[in-house]
Amino acid sequence: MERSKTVRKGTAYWILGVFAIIWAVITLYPFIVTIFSSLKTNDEILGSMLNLPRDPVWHNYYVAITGAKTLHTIMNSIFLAVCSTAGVLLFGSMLAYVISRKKHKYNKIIFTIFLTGIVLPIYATLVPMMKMISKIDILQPNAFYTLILIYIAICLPEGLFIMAGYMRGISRELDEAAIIDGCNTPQLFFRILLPISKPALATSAIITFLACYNEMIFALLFITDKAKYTVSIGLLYFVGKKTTDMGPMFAAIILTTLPMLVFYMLFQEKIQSGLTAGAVKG
Amino acid sequence: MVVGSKKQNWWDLAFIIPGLFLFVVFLIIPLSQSIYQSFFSWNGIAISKMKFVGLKNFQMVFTNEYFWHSLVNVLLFMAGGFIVLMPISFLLAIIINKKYKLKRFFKTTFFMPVVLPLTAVGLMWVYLLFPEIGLVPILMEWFHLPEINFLGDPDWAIISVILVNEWTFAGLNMLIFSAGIVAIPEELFESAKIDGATGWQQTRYITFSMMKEYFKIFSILCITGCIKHFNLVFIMTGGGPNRASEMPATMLYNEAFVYKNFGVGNAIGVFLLIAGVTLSLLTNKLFSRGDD
Repeated sequence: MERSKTVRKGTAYWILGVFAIIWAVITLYPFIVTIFSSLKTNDEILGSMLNLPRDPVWHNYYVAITGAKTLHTIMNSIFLAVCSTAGVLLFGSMLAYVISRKKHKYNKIIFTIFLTGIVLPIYATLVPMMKMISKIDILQPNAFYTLILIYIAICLPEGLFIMAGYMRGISRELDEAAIIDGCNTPQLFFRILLPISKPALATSAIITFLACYNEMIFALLFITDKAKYTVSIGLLYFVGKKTTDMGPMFAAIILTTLPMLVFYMLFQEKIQSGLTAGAVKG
Repeated sequence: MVVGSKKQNWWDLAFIIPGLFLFVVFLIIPLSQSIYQSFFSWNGIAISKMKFVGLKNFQMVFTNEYFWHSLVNVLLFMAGGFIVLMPISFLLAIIINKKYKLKRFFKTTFFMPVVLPLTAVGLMWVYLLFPEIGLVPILMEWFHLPEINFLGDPDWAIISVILVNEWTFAGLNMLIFSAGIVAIPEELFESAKIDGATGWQQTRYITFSMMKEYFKIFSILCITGCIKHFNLVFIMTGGGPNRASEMPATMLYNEAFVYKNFGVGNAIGVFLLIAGVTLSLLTNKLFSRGDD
Protein backbone atom coordinates (compact mmCIF):
# COMPACT_ATOMS: atom_id res chain seq x y z
CA MET A 1 0.00 0.00 0.00
CA GLU A 2 2.56 2.54 1.14
CA ARG A 3 4.84 1.68 -1.72
CA SER A 4 2.26 2.04 -4.47
CA LYS A 5 1.32 5.41 -3.03
CA THR A 6 4.89 6.67 -3.29
CA VAL A 7 5.18 5.31 -6.81
CA ARG A 8 2.11 7.26 -7.81
CA LYS A 9 3.45 10.39 -6.20
CA GLY A 10 6.65 9.87 -8.17
CA THR A 11 5.47 10.68 -11.67
CA ALA A 12 1.88 11.70 -12.26
CA TYR A 13 1.72 13.58 -9.00
CA TRP A 14 4.57 15.88 -9.94
CA ILE A 15 3.62 16.35 -13.56
CA LEU A 16 0.08 17.30 -12.58
CA GLY A 17 1.43 19.51 -9.81
CA VAL A 18 3.56 21.42 -12.29
CA PHE A 19 0.59 21.75 -14.63
CA ALA A 20 -1.52 23.04 -11.74
CA ILE A 21 1.01 25.74 -10.96
CA ILE A 22 1.34 26.71 -14.62
CA TRP A 23 -2.44 27.00 -14.97
CA ALA A 24 -2.65 29.01 -11.76
CA VAL A 25 -0.08 31.42 -13.22
CA ILE A 26 -1.94 31.57 -16.54
CA THR A 27 -5.13 32.37 -14.63
CA LEU A 28 -3.75 34.91 -12.18
CA TYR A 29 -1.03 36.67 -14.12
CA PRO A 30 -3.40 38.49 -16.50
CA PHE A 31 -5.21 39.93 -13.49
CA ILE A 32 -1.93 40.97 -11.88
CA VAL A 33 -0.87 42.71 -15.09
CA THR A 34 -4.26 44.43 -15.16
CA ILE A 35 -3.85 45.62 -11.57
CA PHE A 36 -0.37 46.92 -12.37
CA SER A 37 -1.61 48.65 -15.51
CA SER A 38 -4.40 50.30 -13.57
CA LEU A 39 -1.72 52.06 -11.55
CA LYS A 40 0.40 53.23 -14.46
CA THR A 41 0.55 56.25 -16.68
CA ASN A 42 -0.16 55.79 -20.37
CA ASP A 43 3.54 55.99 -21.25
CA GLU A 44 4.35 53.28 -18.77
CA ILE A 45 1.67 50.96 -20.18
CA LEU A 46 2.85 51.58 -23.72
CA GLY A 47 6.41 51.01 -22.50
CA SER A 48 5.89 47.51 -21.18
CA MET A 49 3.04 45.76 -19.46
CA LEU A 50 5.54 43.53 -17.67
CA ASN A 51 7.11 46.26 -15.55
CA LEU A 52 5.93 47.18 -12.11
CA PRO A 53 4.27 50.56 -11.79
CA ARG A 54 7.00 53.08 -10.99
CA ASP A 55 4.89 55.33 -8.86
CA PRO A 56 1.28 54.13 -8.37
CA VAL A 57 -1.09 56.46 -10.22
CA TRP A 58 -4.17 56.31 -7.97
CA HIS A 59 -5.54 59.14 -10.04
CA ASN A 60 -6.60 56.49 -12.63
CA TYR A 61 -9.19 55.23 -10.17
CA TYR A 62 -10.37 58.76 -9.58
CA VAL A 63 -10.84 59.23 -13.34
CA ALA A 64 -12.61 55.87 -13.68
CA ILE A 65 -15.02 56.83 -10.91
CA THR A 66 -15.71 60.43 -11.92
CA GLY A 67 -15.24 60.26 -15.69
CA ALA A 68 -16.53 56.82 -16.67
CA LYS A 69 -18.92 56.77 -13.67
CA THR A 70 -17.80 53.25 -12.84
CA LEU A 71 -19.17 53.18 -9.29
CA HIS A 72 -22.47 54.37 -10.66
CA THR A 73 -22.62 51.52 -13.20
CA ILE A 74 -21.78 49.04 -10.44
CA MET A 75 -24.63 50.33 -8.28
CA ASN A 76 -27.01 50.12 -11.25
CA SER A 77 -26.00 46.55 -12.01
CA ILE A 78 -26.29 45.50 -8.38
CA PHE A 79 -29.73 47.08 -8.17
CA LEU A 80 -30.88 45.28 -11.33
CA ALA A 81 -29.42 41.99 -10.14
CA VAL A 82 -30.98 42.23 -6.66
CA CYS A 83 -34.46 43.05 -7.98
CA SER A 84 -34.34 40.36 -10.67
CA THR A 85 -33.11 37.79 -8.15
CA ALA A 86 -35.95 38.64 -5.78
CA GLY A 87 -38.41 38.23 -8.64
CA VAL A 88 -37.00 34.89 -9.77
CA LEU A 89 -37.00 33.57 -6.20
CA LEU A 90 -40.58 34.63 -5.54
CA PHE A 91 -42.21 33.63 -8.83
CA GLY A 92 -39.92 30.66 -9.36
CA SER A 93 -40.53 29.14 -5.96
CA MET A 94 -44.29 29.61 -6.28
CA LEU A 95 -44.25 27.85 -9.64
CA ALA A 96 -41.91 25.19 -8.30
CA TYR A 97 -44.27 24.52 -5.41
CA VAL A 98 -47.27 23.84 -7.63
CA ILE A 99 -45.33 21.89 -10.22
CA SER A 100 -43.45 19.69 -7.79
CA ARG A 101 -46.08 19.05 -5.11
CA LYS A 102 -49.47 19.21 -6.77
CA LYS A 103 -51.08 16.93 -9.32
CA HIS A 104 -52.66 19.17 -11.89
CA LYS A 105 -53.27 18.29 -15.50
CA TYR A 106 -51.67 21.54 -16.61
CA ASN A 107 -48.42 20.88 -14.73
CA LYS A 108 -46.92 18.90 -17.55
CA ILE A 109 -47.65 21.63 -20.13
CA ILE A 110 -46.17 24.31 -17.91
CA PHE A 111 -43.12 22.20 -17.27
CA THR A 112 -42.60 21.70 -21.00
CA ILE A 113 -43.02 25.41 -21.73
CA PHE A 114 -40.28 26.26 -19.26
CA LEU A 115 -38.09 23.43 -20.45
CA THR A 116 -38.13 24.87 -23.97
CA GLY A 117 -37.15 28.16 -22.36
CA ILE A 118 -33.85 26.64 -21.29
CA VAL A 119 -33.10 25.20 -24.71
CA LEU A 120 -34.09 28.17 -26.87
CA PRO A 121 -31.53 30.82 -27.74
CA ILE A 122 -32.63 34.16 -26.28
CA TYR A 123 -30.92 35.99 -29.15
CA ALA A 124 -33.82 35.05 -31.41
CA THR A 125 -36.00 37.31 -29.25
CA LEU A 126 -33.89 40.45 -29.76
CA VAL A 127 -35.68 41.97 -32.74
CA PRO A 128 -39.28 41.22 -31.64
CA MET A 129 -38.43 42.36 -28.11
CA MET A 130 -37.06 45.64 -29.46
CA LYS A 131 -40.23 46.10 -31.49
CA MET A 132 -42.43 45.24 -28.54
CA ILE A 133 -40.69 47.69 -26.22
CA SER A 134 -40.98 50.49 -28.76
CA LYS A 135 -44.67 49.77 -29.26
CA ILE A 136 -45.98 49.18 -25.76
CA ASP A 137 -46.03 52.40 -23.82
CA ILE A 138 -45.83 51.00 -20.30
CA LEU A 139 -42.58 49.24 -21.16
CA GLN A 140 -40.25 52.20 -21.38
CA PRO A 141 -36.77 51.75 -22.73
CA ASN A 142 -34.24 53.22 -20.31
CA ALA A 143 -36.39 52.05 -17.42
CA PHE A 144 -34.91 49.54 -15.03
CA TYR A 145 -38.21 47.76 -14.50
CA THR A 146 -38.36 46.81 -18.19
CA LEU A 147 -34.96 45.15 -17.88
CA ILE A 148 -35.87 43.55 -14.57
CA LEU A 149 -38.99 41.95 -16.07
CA ILE A 150 -36.95 40.62 -18.99
CA TYR A 151 -34.22 39.29 -16.68
CA ILE A 152 -36.79 37.54 -14.50
CA ALA A 153 -38.30 35.88 -17.56
CA ILE A 154 -34.90 34.73 -18.82
CA CYS A 155 -33.65 33.43 -15.49
CA LEU A 156 -36.92 31.86 -14.38
CA PRO A 157 -36.58 28.40 -16.02
CA GLU A 158 -33.22 27.59 -14.47
CA GLY A 159 -34.31 28.76 -11.03
CA LEU A 160 -37.60 26.92 -11.37
CA PHE A 161 -35.92 23.62 -12.17
CA ILE A 162 -33.46 23.89 -9.30
CA MET A 163 -36.19 24.77 -6.81
CA ALA A 164 -38.69 22.23 -8.15
CA GLY A 165 -36.04 19.53 -8.01
CA TYR A 166 -35.38 20.31 -4.39
CA MET A 167 -39.03 20.59 -3.35
CA ARG A 168 -39.80 17.25 -4.95
CA GLY A 169 -37.49 15.71 -2.38
CA ILE A 170 -39.36 17.12 0.61
CA SER A 171 -41.84 14.70 2.15
CA ARG A 172 -45.45 15.29 1.13
CA GLU A 173 -46.68 14.26 4.54
CA LEU A 174 -45.55 17.65 5.68
CA ASP A 175 -48.16 19.34 3.47
CA GLU A 176 -50.91 17.02 4.62
CA ALA A 177 -50.08 17.57 8.26
CA ALA A 178 -50.05 21.33 7.74
CA ILE A 179 -53.41 21.26 5.96
CA ILE A 180 -54.93 19.18 8.74
CA ASP A 181 -53.61 21.76 11.20
CA GLY A 182 -55.54 24.37 9.27
CA CYS A 183 -52.85 25.98 7.14
CA ASN A 184 -54.02 27.47 3.87
CA THR A 185 -51.85 27.36 0.77
CA PRO A 186 -49.95 30.65 1.28
CA GLN A 187 -49.28 29.82 4.93
CA LEU A 188 -48.08 26.35 4.07
CA PHE A 189 -45.88 27.74 1.34
CA PHE A 190 -44.34 30.78 3.03
CA ARG A 191 -44.13 29.51 6.61
CA ILE A 192 -43.23 25.88 6.11
CA LEU A 193 -42.00 25.02 2.63
CA LEU A 194 -39.89 28.06 1.81
CA PRO A 195 -37.78 27.92 4.98
CA ILE A 196 -37.02 24.25 4.32
CA SER A 197 -36.08 25.01 0.70
CA LYS A 198 -33.42 27.55 1.64
CA PRO A 199 -30.51 25.65 0.04
CA ALA A 200 -32.26 25.58 -3.35
CA LEU A 201 -33.26 29.22 -3.01
CA ALA A 202 -29.65 30.13 -2.31
CA THR A 203 -28.44 28.26 -5.38
CA SER A 204 -30.99 29.92 -7.64
CA ALA A 205 -30.24 33.29 -6.09
CA ILE A 206 -26.54 32.95 -6.83
CA ILE A 207 -27.05 31.88 -10.42
CA THR A 208 -29.55 34.65 -11.09
CA PHE A 209 -27.55 37.34 -9.35
CA LEU A 210 -24.37 36.56 -11.29
CA ALA A 211 -26.19 36.27 -14.61
CA CYS A 212 -27.95 39.61 -14.14
CA TYR A 213 -24.93 41.51 -12.84
CA ASN A 214 -23.00 40.35 -15.89
CA GLU A 215 -25.81 40.65 -18.43
CA MET A 216 -24.95 42.61 -21.52
CA ILE A 217 -27.12 42.30 -24.58
CA PHE A 218 -30.52 43.47 -23.32
CA ALA A 219 -28.95 46.28 -21.35
CA LEU A 220 -27.14 47.32 -24.51
CA LEU A 221 -30.36 47.30 -26.53
CA PHE A 222 -32.57 49.19 -24.12
CA ILE A 223 -30.36 51.48 -22.07
CA THR A 224 -29.17 54.57 -23.86
CA ASP A 225 -29.33 56.98 -20.95
CA LYS A 226 -25.81 57.35 -19.59
CA ALA A 227 -27.02 57.68 -16.01
CA LYS A 228 -28.50 54.19 -16.27
CA TYR A 229 -25.51 52.40 -17.78
CA THR A 230 -24.78 48.99 -16.32
CA VAL A 231 -21.34 47.51 -15.74
CA SER A 232 -21.32 45.77 -19.12
CA ILE A 233 -22.29 48.82 -21.18
CA GLY A 234 -19.94 51.03 -19.23
CA LEU A 235 -17.06 48.71 -20.07
CA LEU A 236 -18.08 48.15 -23.69
CA TYR A 237 -17.59 51.86 -24.10
CA PHE A 238 -13.84 51.24 -23.85
CA VAL A 239 -13.59 48.27 -26.22
CA GLY A 240 -11.28 48.53 -29.17
CA LYS A 241 -10.18 52.05 -28.45
CA LYS A 242 -6.47 52.54 -28.11
CA THR A 243 -7.43 55.45 -25.97
CA THR A 244 -5.20 58.15 -24.68
CA ASP A 245 -5.92 57.04 -21.15
CA MET A 246 -5.68 53.31 -20.75
CA GLY A 247 -4.94 53.53 -17.02
CA PRO A 248 -8.51 54.50 -16.07
CA MET A 249 -9.83 51.73 -18.30
CA PHE A 250 -7.81 49.11 -16.43
CA ALA A 251 -8.95 50.73 -13.19
CA ALA A 252 -12.56 50.36 -14.36
CA ILE A 253 -11.96 46.66 -15.10
CA ILE A 254 -10.60 46.13 -11.59
CA LEU A 255 -13.41 48.12 -9.96
CA THR A 256 -16.19 46.25 -11.75
CA THR A 257 -14.71 42.84 -10.96
CA LEU A 258 -14.18 43.71 -7.30
CA PRO A 259 -17.80 43.24 -6.10
CA MET A 260 -17.96 39.82 -7.76
CA LEU A 261 -14.58 38.88 -6.32
CA VAL A 262 -15.72 39.76 -2.80
CA PHE A 263 -18.99 37.90 -3.38
CA TYR A 264 -16.99 34.90 -4.60
CA MET A 265 -14.63 34.91 -1.64
CA LEU A 266 -17.55 35.06 0.79
CA PHE A 267 -19.69 32.30 -0.71
CA GLN A 268 -17.08 30.31 -2.59
CA GLU A 269 -18.37 26.77 -2.06
CA LYS A 270 -21.97 27.73 -2.65
CA ILE A 271 -21.16 29.65 -5.83
CA GLN A 272 -19.05 26.82 -7.22
CA SER A 273 -21.65 24.15 -6.59
CA GLY A 274 -24.51 26.43 -7.64
CA LEU A 275 -23.04 27.39 -11.01
CA THR A 276 -22.09 23.80 -11.74
CA ALA A 277 -25.61 22.62 -10.92
CA GLY A 278 -27.02 25.40 -13.08
CA ALA A 279 -24.81 24.49 -16.02
CA VAL A 280 -25.61 20.80 -15.84
CA LYS A 281 -29.34 21.38 -15.49
CA GLY A 282 -29.30 23.86 -18.36
CA MET B 1 -56.65 17.29 -1.00
CA VAL B 2 -60.31 16.55 -0.23
CA VAL B 3 -61.28 19.34 2.14
CA GLY B 4 -61.38 22.75 0.53
CA SER B 5 -59.71 21.47 -2.60
CA LYS B 6 -61.51 23.94 -4.83
CA LYS B 7 -60.07 26.84 -2.88
CA GLN B 8 -56.67 25.23 -3.08
CA ASN B 9 -56.91 24.97 -6.84
CA TRP B 10 -57.49 28.70 -7.05
CA TRP B 11 -54.43 29.32 -4.91
CA ASP B 12 -52.38 27.05 -7.13
CA LEU B 13 -53.41 29.04 -10.18
CA ALA B 14 -52.56 32.27 -8.40
CA PHE B 15 -49.13 30.84 -7.66
CA ILE B 16 -48.50 29.90 -11.26
CA ILE B 17 -49.80 32.92 -13.10
CA PRO B 18 -47.27 35.68 -12.33
CA GLY B 19 -44.22 33.65 -13.37
CA LEU B 20 -45.92 32.06 -16.33
CA PHE B 21 -47.22 35.43 -17.49
CA LEU B 22 -43.76 37.04 -17.48
CA PHE B 23 -42.24 34.04 -19.19
CA VAL B 24 -44.83 33.96 -21.94
CA VAL B 25 -44.82 37.73 -22.52
CA PHE B 26 -41.06 38.18 -22.57
CA LEU B 27 -39.88 34.92 -24.06
CA ILE B 28 -42.49 32.78 -25.73
CA ILE B 29 -44.33 35.59 -27.55
CA PRO B 30 -41.14 37.28 -28.83
CA LEU B 31 -39.88 33.89 -30.00
CA SER B 32 -43.05 33.17 -31.94
CA GLN B 33 -42.99 36.69 -33.30
CA SER B 34 -39.46 36.19 -34.56
CA ILE B 35 -40.73 33.29 -36.65
CA TYR B 36 -43.64 35.34 -37.99
CA GLN B 37 -41.53 38.45 -38.61
CA SER B 38 -38.88 36.50 -40.46
CA PHE B 39 -41.19 36.54 -43.48
CA PHE B 40 -41.28 40.35 -43.47
CA SER B 41 -38.74 43.02 -44.15
CA TRP B 42 -38.58 45.94 -41.77
CA ASN B 43 -36.24 48.89 -41.41
CA GLY B 44 -36.46 49.21 -37.65
CA ILE B 45 -38.50 52.38 -37.48
CA ALA B 46 -41.46 51.71 -35.23
CA ILE B 47 -44.07 53.52 -37.32
CA SER B 48 -43.00 52.21 -40.73
CA LYS B 49 -44.86 49.17 -42.03
CA MET B 50 -43.40 45.71 -42.31
CA LYS B 51 -43.44 44.33 -45.84
CA PHE B 52 -44.23 40.69 -46.56
CA VAL B 53 -41.36 39.20 -48.54
CA GLY B 54 -41.95 35.46 -48.19
CA LEU B 55 -38.76 33.47 -47.94
CA LYS B 56 -36.52 36.24 -49.22
CA ASN B 57 -34.90 36.83 -45.82
CA PHE B 58 -33.92 33.19 -45.63
CA GLN B 59 -32.63 33.30 -49.16
CA MET B 60 -30.49 36.29 -48.20
CA VAL B 61 -29.14 34.44 -45.17
CA PHE B 62 -28.28 31.26 -47.02
CA THR B 63 -26.64 33.04 -49.92
CA ASN B 64 -24.58 35.19 -47.57
CA GLU B 65 -21.00 33.97 -47.44
CA TYR B 66 -20.51 35.52 -44.01
CA PHE B 67 -23.29 33.32 -42.69
CA TRP B 68 -21.57 30.17 -43.93
CA HIS B 69 -18.37 31.46 -42.46
CA SER B 70 -20.12 31.94 -39.13
CA LEU B 71 -21.09 28.26 -39.23
CA VAL B 72 -17.44 27.37 -39.81
CA ASN B 73 -16.64 29.46 -36.75
CA VAL B 74 -19.22 27.48 -34.76
CA LEU B 75 -17.41 24.30 -35.79
CA LEU B 76 -14.11 25.86 -34.73
CA PHE B 77 -15.68 26.75 -31.39
CA MET B 78 -16.81 23.16 -30.94
CA ALA B 79 -13.39 21.86 -31.96
CA GLY B 80 -11.79 24.19 -29.43
CA GLY B 81 -14.15 22.82 -26.80
CA PHE B 82 -13.16 19.22 -27.42
CA ILE B 83 -9.47 19.72 -28.20
CA VAL B 84 -8.55 22.41 -25.68
CA LEU B 85 -11.26 22.88 -23.07
CA MET B 86 -12.09 19.23 -22.37
CA PRO B 87 -8.54 17.95 -21.68
CA ILE B 88 -7.62 21.02 -19.63
CA SER B 89 -10.77 20.93 -17.50
CA PHE B 90 -10.38 17.19 -17.00
CA LEU B 91 -6.77 17.58 -15.85
CA LEU B 92 -7.78 20.40 -13.52
CA ALA B 93 -10.53 18.19 -12.12
CA ILE B 94 -8.01 15.43 -11.37
CA ILE B 95 -5.72 18.01 -9.77
CA ILE B 96 -8.28 19.40 -7.34
CA ASN B 97 -9.13 15.85 -6.26
CA LYS B 98 -5.53 14.97 -5.43
CA LYS B 99 -3.93 15.64 -2.09
CA TYR B 100 -1.95 18.76 -2.89
CA LYS B 101 -1.18 21.21 -0.13
CA LEU B 102 -2.38 24.02 -2.38
CA LYS B 103 -5.56 22.16 -3.36
CA ARG B 104 -7.91 24.82 -2.01
CA PHE B 105 -5.92 27.62 -3.59
CA PHE B 106 -5.94 25.80 -6.94
CA LYS B 107 -9.69 25.25 -6.87
CA THR B 108 -10.45 28.87 -5.93
CA THR B 109 -8.08 30.24 -8.55
CA PHE B 110 -9.12 28.00 -11.43
CA PHE B 111 -12.78 28.83 -10.93
CA MET B 112 -12.35 32.58 -10.42
CA PRO B 113 -12.70 33.80 -14.05
CA VAL B 114 -16.15 32.18 -14.23
CA VAL B 115 -17.70 34.55 -11.70
CA LEU B 116 -16.19 37.80 -12.98
CA PRO B 117 -18.12 39.99 -15.43
CA LEU B 118 -17.46 38.60 -18.89
CA THR B 119 -17.24 42.10 -20.29
CA ALA B 120 -14.39 42.87 -17.91
CA VAL B 121 -12.63 39.60 -18.74
CA GLY B 122 -13.08 40.14 -22.48
CA LEU B 123 -11.92 43.73 -22.33
CA MET B 124 -8.89 42.73 -20.28
CA TRP B 125 -7.89 40.19 -22.93
CA VAL B 126 -8.42 42.65 -25.77
CA TYR B 127 -5.63 44.73 -24.27
CA LEU B 128 -3.46 41.80 -23.20
CA LEU B 129 -3.53 40.69 -26.84
CA PHE B 130 -3.06 44.21 -28.27
CA PRO B 131 -0.25 44.21 -30.88
CA GLU B 132 3.12 45.43 -29.57
CA ILE B 133 1.92 46.75 -26.21
CA GLY B 134 -0.04 43.74 -24.95
CA LEU B 135 1.29 41.15 -22.53
CA VAL B 136 1.02 38.20 -24.91
CA PRO B 137 2.78 39.85 -27.88
CA ILE B 138 5.55 41.01 -25.53
CA LEU B 139 6.02 37.50 -24.16
CA MET B 140 6.02 36.09 -27.68
CA GLU B 141 8.71 38.51 -28.70
CA TRP B 142 10.79 37.31 -25.72
CA PHE B 143 10.66 33.79 -27.03
CA HIS B 144 11.33 35.01 -30.58
CA LEU B 145 7.98 33.76 -31.81
CA PRO B 146 6.50 35.34 -34.95
CA GLU B 147 4.38 38.41 -34.44
CA ILE B 148 0.64 37.79 -34.54
CA ASN B 149 -2.06 40.41 -34.58
CA PHE B 150 -4.44 38.24 -32.58
CA LEU B 151 -7.69 40.12 -32.90
CA GLY B 152 -6.82 42.15 -35.99
CA ASP B 153 -5.88 39.25 -38.25
CA PRO B 154 -8.98 37.63 -39.83
CA ASP B 155 -7.40 34.19 -39.56
CA TRP B 156 -6.54 34.56 -35.90
CA ALA B 157 -9.45 36.56 -34.48
CA ILE B 158 -11.85 33.67 -33.89
CA ILE B 159 -9.08 31.40 -32.61
CA SER B 160 -8.01 34.05 -30.11
CA VAL B 161 -11.57 34.45 -28.84
CA ILE B 162 -11.98 30.68 -28.58
CA LEU B 163 -8.83 30.40 -26.49
CA VAL B 164 -9.97 33.20 -24.18
CA ASN B 165 -13.30 31.39 -23.90
CA GLU B 166 -11.56 28.17 -22.83
CA TRP B 167 -9.40 30.15 -20.38
CA THR B 168 -12.54 31.64 -18.82
CA PHE B 169 -14.65 28.51 -18.56
CA ALA B 170 -12.04 25.84 -17.78
CA GLY B 171 -12.92 26.25 -14.11
CA LEU B 172 -16.61 25.62 -14.62
CA ASN B 173 -16.06 22.46 -16.64
CA MET B 174 -13.43 21.39 -14.13
CA LEU B 175 -16.17 21.23 -11.49
CA ILE B 176 -18.46 19.24 -13.80
CA PHE B 177 -15.72 16.62 -14.24
CA SER B 178 -14.84 16.88 -10.58
CA ALA B 179 -18.39 15.91 -9.63
CA GLY B 180 -17.82 12.75 -11.64
CA ILE B 181 -14.48 11.96 -10.04
CA VAL B 182 -15.88 12.43 -6.54
CA ALA B 183 -18.69 9.99 -7.37
CA ILE B 184 -16.26 7.14 -8.11
CA PRO B 185 -16.17 4.80 -5.11
CA GLU B 186 -12.76 4.78 -3.42
CA GLU B 187 -12.85 0.97 -3.10
CA LEU B 188 -12.41 0.62 -6.84
CA PHE B 189 -9.00 2.25 -6.60
CA GLU B 190 -8.12 0.28 -3.49
CA SER B 191 -8.82 -3.04 -5.14
CA ALA B 192 -7.08 -1.96 -8.33
CA LYS B 193 -4.02 -1.10 -6.28
CA ILE B 194 -4.09 -4.52 -4.66
CA ASP B 195 -4.30 -6.05 -8.11
CA GLY B 196 -1.20 -4.06 -8.96
CA ALA B 197 -2.62 -1.48 -11.36
CA THR B 198 -0.37 1.50 -12.02
CA GLY B 199 -1.58 5.06 -11.61
CA TRP B 200 -2.10 5.41 -15.35
CA GLN B 201 -3.98 2.12 -15.57
CA GLN B 202 -6.24 3.28 -12.75
CA THR B 203 -6.97 6.49 -14.57
CA ARG B 204 -7.49 4.71 -17.87
CA TYR B 205 -9.72 1.87 -16.70
CA ILE B 206 -11.47 3.31 -13.67
CA THR B 207 -11.64 7.09 -13.97
CA PHE B 208 -12.34 7.23 -17.71
CA SER B 209 -14.90 4.48 -17.82
CA MET B 210 -16.69 5.60 -14.68
CA MET B 211 -16.88 9.12 -16.04
CA LYS B 212 -18.54 8.46 -19.37
CA GLU B 213 -21.68 10.17 -18.10
CA TYR B 214 -19.79 13.37 -17.40
CA PHE B 215 -18.07 13.41 -20.77
CA LYS B 216 -21.55 13.14 -22.25
CA ILE B 217 -22.76 16.09 -20.20
CA PHE B 218 -19.73 18.08 -21.29
CA SER B 219 -20.39 17.22 -24.94
CA ILE B 220 -24.03 18.27 -24.76
CA LEU B 221 -23.17 21.54 -23.04
CA CYS B 222 -20.33 22.24 -25.44
CA ILE B 223 -22.26 21.55 -28.65
CA THR B 224 -25.45 23.37 -27.65
CA GLY B 225 -23.44 26.23 -26.08
CA CYS B 226 -21.26 26.81 -29.15
CA ILE B 227 -24.12 27.29 -31.60
CA LYS B 228 -25.60 29.99 -29.34
CA HIS B 229 -22.34 31.70 -28.43
CA PHE B 230 -22.51 35.46 -28.47
CA ASN B 231 -20.88 37.31 -25.60
CA LEU B 232 -17.14 36.92 -25.92
CA VAL B 233 -17.06 37.32 -29.68
CA PHE B 234 -19.25 40.39 -29.39
CA ILE B 235 -17.09 41.94 -26.67
CA MET B 236 -13.70 41.16 -28.17
CA THR B 237 -14.13 41.55 -31.92
CA GLY B 238 -17.78 42.46 -32.57
CA GLY B 239 -17.58 39.85 -35.33
CA GLY B 240 -14.68 41.55 -37.10
CA PRO B 241 -12.20 42.19 -38.56
CA ASN B 242 -14.16 42.32 -41.78
CA ARG B 243 -16.75 39.95 -40.24
CA ALA B 244 -14.20 37.13 -40.04
CA SER B 245 -15.11 36.12 -36.49
CA GLU B 246 -18.89 36.28 -36.77
CA MET B 247 -20.99 33.68 -34.98
CA PRO B 248 -24.66 33.25 -35.99
CA ALA B 249 -25.80 35.17 -32.91
CA THR B 250 -23.41 38.10 -33.43
CA MET B 251 -24.40 38.16 -37.07
CA LEU B 252 -28.05 38.38 -36.02
CA TYR B 253 -27.18 41.39 -33.90
CA ASN B 254 -25.09 43.07 -36.59
CA GLU B 255 -27.57 42.48 -39.40
CA ALA B 256 -30.46 43.77 -37.31
CA PHE B 257 -29.02 46.56 -35.24
CA VAL B 258 -26.01 47.72 -37.24
CA TYR B 259 -27.14 47.21 -40.86
CA LYS B 260 -30.85 47.60 -40.02
CA ASN B 261 -31.87 44.46 -41.91
CA PHE B 262 -34.29 43.37 -39.24
CA GLY B 263 -35.89 40.75 -41.45
CA VAL B 264 -32.54 39.08 -42.07
CA GLY B 265 -31.82 39.28 -38.35
CA ASN B 266 -35.07 37.49 -37.63
CA ALA B 267 -34.32 34.84 -40.23
CA ILE B 268 -31.02 34.13 -38.49
CA GLY B 269 -32.95 34.04 -35.23
CA VAL B 270 -35.24 31.37 -36.68
CA PHE B 271 -32.21 29.45 -37.86
CA LEU B 272 -30.75 29.65 -34.34
CA LEU B 273 -34.04 28.46 -32.90
CA ILE B 274 -34.26 25.45 -35.16
CA ALA B 275 -30.56 24.63 -34.95
CA GLY B 276 -30.59 25.05 -31.17
CA VAL B 277 -33.57 22.80 -30.61
CA THR B 278 -32.38 20.21 -33.14
CA LEU B 279 -28.92 20.07 -31.62
CA SER B 280 -30.14 19.71 -28.07
CA LEU B 281 -32.62 16.99 -29.04
CA LEU B 282 -29.97 15.29 -31.13
CA THR B 283 -27.20 15.43 -28.55
CA ASN B 284 -29.53 14.35 -25.77
CA LYS B 285 -30.69 11.41 -27.85
CA LEU B 286 -27.18 10.60 -29.04
CA PHE B 287 -25.74 10.59 -25.57
CA SER B 288 -29.07 9.39 -24.12
CA ARG B 289 -28.67 10.92 -20.73
CA GLY B 290 -31.13 9.68 -18.13
CA ASP B 291 -33.31 12.22 -16.35
CA ASP B 292 -31.06 13.56 -13.59
